[in-house]
Amino acid sequence: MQFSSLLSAESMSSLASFSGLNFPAILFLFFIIFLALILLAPLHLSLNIRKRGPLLQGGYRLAWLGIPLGKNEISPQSAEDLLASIWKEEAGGEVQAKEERKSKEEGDGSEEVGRIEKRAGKWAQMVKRSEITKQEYDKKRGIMRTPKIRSLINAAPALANILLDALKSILFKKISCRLCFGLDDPAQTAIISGYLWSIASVVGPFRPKISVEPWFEGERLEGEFMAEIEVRLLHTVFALMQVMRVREIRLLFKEMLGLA
Amino acid sequence: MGDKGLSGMDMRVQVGKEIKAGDRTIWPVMRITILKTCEDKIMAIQVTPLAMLIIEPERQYAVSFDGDPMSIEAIMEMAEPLRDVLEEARASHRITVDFNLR
Repeated sequence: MQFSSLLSAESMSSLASFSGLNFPAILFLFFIIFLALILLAPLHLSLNIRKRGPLLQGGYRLAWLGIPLGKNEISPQSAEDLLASIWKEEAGGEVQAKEERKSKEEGDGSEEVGRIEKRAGKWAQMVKRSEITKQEYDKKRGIMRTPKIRSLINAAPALANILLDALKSILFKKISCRLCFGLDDPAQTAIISGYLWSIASVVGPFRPKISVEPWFEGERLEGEFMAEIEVRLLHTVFALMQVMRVREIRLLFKEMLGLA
Repeated sequence: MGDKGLSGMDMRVQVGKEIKAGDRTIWPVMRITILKTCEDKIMAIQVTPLAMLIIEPERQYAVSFDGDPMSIEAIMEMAEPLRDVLEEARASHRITVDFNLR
């Protein structure tokens, strides 16, 4: 009885000290666990696009640890309707612009001249100001600059390595593509299908199910694309950290940020 | 791995896309041979040009790629869709005579 009471007292005191003193350590531990989870737990992306006749449907789903991060579905809508809605939007914009132009033209001539003169003056002031502050502005906003070709060539091997490492982090769990297409010229259809088969054979080692079927009877485009991709950020982050140790890459980044 | 042996050969004669050269329109005729595997997947395609129908404003004639002379009827038998093409071409150059003119 005495021993048990002593034990419980000891454990209580240790718990108190644990909760009181090591709170930052626990927080840090949780942070590390969370970071490890982000880096190790893969992101799942599933894509599905299908076109049958004039109907186009599909969608994508992005999830992490079973938690959906993003989801979108293309409702079964005919491709023509889809294109028509896009054109309508564009046409609407154009009509609005035309109306604006018309209303401007219809306005009073003298007022218009005065307005133009004012605008020209403002514009000249803005140009002057922009010339002075452009460099400072670029530095502040961190606008990327085109690097020198020499430094790009120097950094090319390291960049290739990072790309290969980034590719390691992508795992194609399932990928299938079925395409049935036809052009107005059967000879062209045969040639294009030959090219597509060549591409399919290049990606053959990754074992995707790719089927390309030519249609010689006229113009046609039908198909289905399904993919399930897993992305682990660990490899990418590790590759980024490794690549930042390379002098050429650091120089390239400095040049791009305008610091060198 | 399934059996990838040859299961069949699909052969068809198709009319290609028209080629315009000035007033002249050329309609190529080709034979498309498709080799299929046992899984009914396409293994190879061969496109062989056979002949061409040439339509000029004044006349229409056929040219065979094997060097032998070819009649319009022969190319029509080879590729049926060309019948409509020829009919259309002839209709566009047809002169209609109105006998009711006074």
